[in-house]
Amino acid sequence: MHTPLADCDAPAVPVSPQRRRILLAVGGIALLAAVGGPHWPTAYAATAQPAASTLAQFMALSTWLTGRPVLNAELGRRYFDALAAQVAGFASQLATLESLRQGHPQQDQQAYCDAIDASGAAHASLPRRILAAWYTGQVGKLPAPDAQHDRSSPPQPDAAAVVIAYEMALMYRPTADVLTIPSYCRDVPGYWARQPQGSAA
Amino acid sequence: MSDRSSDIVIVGSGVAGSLVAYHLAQAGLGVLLLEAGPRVKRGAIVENFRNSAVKDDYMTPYPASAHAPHPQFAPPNHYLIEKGSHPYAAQYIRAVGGTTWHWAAAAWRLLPSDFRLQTQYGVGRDWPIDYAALEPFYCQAERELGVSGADQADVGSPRSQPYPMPALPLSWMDRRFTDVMQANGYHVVPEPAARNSRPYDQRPTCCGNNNCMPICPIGAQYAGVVHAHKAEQAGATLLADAVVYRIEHDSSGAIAAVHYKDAAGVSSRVSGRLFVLAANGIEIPKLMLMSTSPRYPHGIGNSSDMVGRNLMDHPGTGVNFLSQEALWPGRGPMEMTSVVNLRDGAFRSQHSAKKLHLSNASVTADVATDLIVNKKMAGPGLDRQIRDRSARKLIINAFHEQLPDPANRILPSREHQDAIGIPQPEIHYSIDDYVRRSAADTRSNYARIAALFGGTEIEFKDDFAPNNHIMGTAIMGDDPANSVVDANCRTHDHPNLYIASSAVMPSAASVNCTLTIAALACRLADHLQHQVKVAS
Repeated sequence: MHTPLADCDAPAVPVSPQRRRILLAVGGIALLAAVGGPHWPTAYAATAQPAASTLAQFMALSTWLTGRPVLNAELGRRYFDALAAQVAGFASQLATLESLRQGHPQQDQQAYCDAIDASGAAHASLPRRILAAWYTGQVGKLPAPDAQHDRSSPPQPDAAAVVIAYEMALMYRPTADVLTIPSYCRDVPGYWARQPQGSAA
Repeated sequence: MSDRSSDIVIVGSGVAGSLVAYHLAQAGLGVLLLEAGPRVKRGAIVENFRNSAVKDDYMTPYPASAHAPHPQFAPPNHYLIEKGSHPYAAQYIRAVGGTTWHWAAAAWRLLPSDFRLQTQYGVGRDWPIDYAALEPFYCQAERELGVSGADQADVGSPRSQPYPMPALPLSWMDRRFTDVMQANGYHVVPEPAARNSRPYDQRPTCCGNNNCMPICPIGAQYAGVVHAHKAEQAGATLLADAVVYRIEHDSSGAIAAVHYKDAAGVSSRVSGRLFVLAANGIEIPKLMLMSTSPRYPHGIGNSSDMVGRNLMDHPGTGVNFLSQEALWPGRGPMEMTSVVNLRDGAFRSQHSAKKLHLSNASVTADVATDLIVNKKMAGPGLDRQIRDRSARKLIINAFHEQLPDPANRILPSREHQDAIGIPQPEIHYSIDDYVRRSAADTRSNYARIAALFGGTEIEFKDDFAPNNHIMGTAIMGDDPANSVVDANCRTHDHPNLYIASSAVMPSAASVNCTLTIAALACRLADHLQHQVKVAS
């Protein structure tokens, strides 16, 4: 289940202050409903607490991988929990990835991911899983890549994936000034007849 | 459960059953509408969509109920038992309102030639009625559903009345697509759509949520549930979770009752004067074939052996490519324009008619997943590529007309039953050379269109995807020896049993069948009102 959250990053979609207040109000109600009442901080504390340093490593690596100045901490916590539940040896793989990153400070994200991919190590798929989580809002089995890498249609997603975010998935950010997030309404009826401003790339 | 009785008993509350129920209830008749599935709420469907891990599978927001399962694919529930050379992975929804909860709202009329395929082209079958007989009911159906369309566009189906609403403005992409295609010999028209371009029938104007499939969040798009509710307000009784599993006849051969099971599997009997089957092209023939008796060992309405046969859909192929120009699919409704110049012509004696349509669905999610998983992108290049490809990835699909072939058929499975002991549908389906020849020609057109847009990374989809337009399985005709219903949609075998469904269509044509379903339902309601008046 994803739950709407106040976004601490840049807003995905320009919204009027009034609409924003409504969204926040609805989000707040949903959040309370989801955790069963006002005592949720206690309930949360009762679950297995990751070592603060491991979560911090995850957020540091995520921030760098996604190239964002800041990421939503609550979403990060949920991605972390979902990945930890699905990836054997998650904490140690994460530590390895962080040390690899710090050991090659000159590498950009693409070179870093490519090098780890090429290593074929146990942790080779983790950077991409972390990236896929933040971008798609879901944590599941990474779909098997197609044999033809230039094939433009996506592989079959994992029906059992955990859905953590929808409208706050990072993949919607690069087009947020032009496209709606499906099921949301972004502008007045007929706005779509105008030529979008701004370049494609 | 106490047994019931009603003047009119209708099985299925989708667009067909609900329209018939509404009109007959308005005429003051007692109407009982039996729906196999549950009542569902729009808001819950929207939340299901947003929480779905497989958002491009339009069935995921509609969880199947145990007592009235429908096909699900992510993960597969194997409700449809596939036995043919080509799997027919049809989607439909068993819930109050039926399958128009998710559709593109494409509200096409057939062409006059679609009614006389055999006479004009020597293939397939003719309808026992012509276009002119259905035209007034197309007008009525357009008013009932609330169709917006461009009166000035020639779509080949003569009109006696204007569209109830003007067309929505085309998206920038659809406008550019139309201009480029028209300049190169294609005939492109705005698609008539059961989608509001102004407030209509107490529903709002479309604001471009770009989510027509799997659910319009605001009800700007018509859904069968509109008439299910109207029928109830007009006095009809709607029973949800009532799965009809047997049709009972009397000693004269007239239908006396239907039997249904509730969600717990408890059975009830409903008697009536007139019965209408409106449960779609798979569930209707399944029910008729399950209803055997010593007098009708091959099922109700099946003296012709045509019940369940002649299954037709619109086998689909597609193409996608990156256009040179940033056109930005994803702004406005999910589908707005169609290429219609391949819907008719002398070629139909050799291969299928077809309609091509440009998708206006947002491609961002597909593009992003592909970039991360297949193209292994990361870093600032990833965001640039998501934006660039989201602006330039065009998707075009085609519907191909399929001819009625008795070997393509639905049967009640002898091996597989659902949770309350009702046989699952078994499907035998194949794609013939009439379709394959047309698909080869479609591919050439795709290549040409991609070139017109400077397309790169061109990918063809030759999978003959089903389009959930389930037709032909209770086929209409004048000859009781080779058809199931007559020109009034009455079964040849039973004087008080009617069918409201695309199952009666003798030709599939090349367009979405919902408006034809609605027009046939309006015509049937009109006929039944006269029948009842004459009888009483």
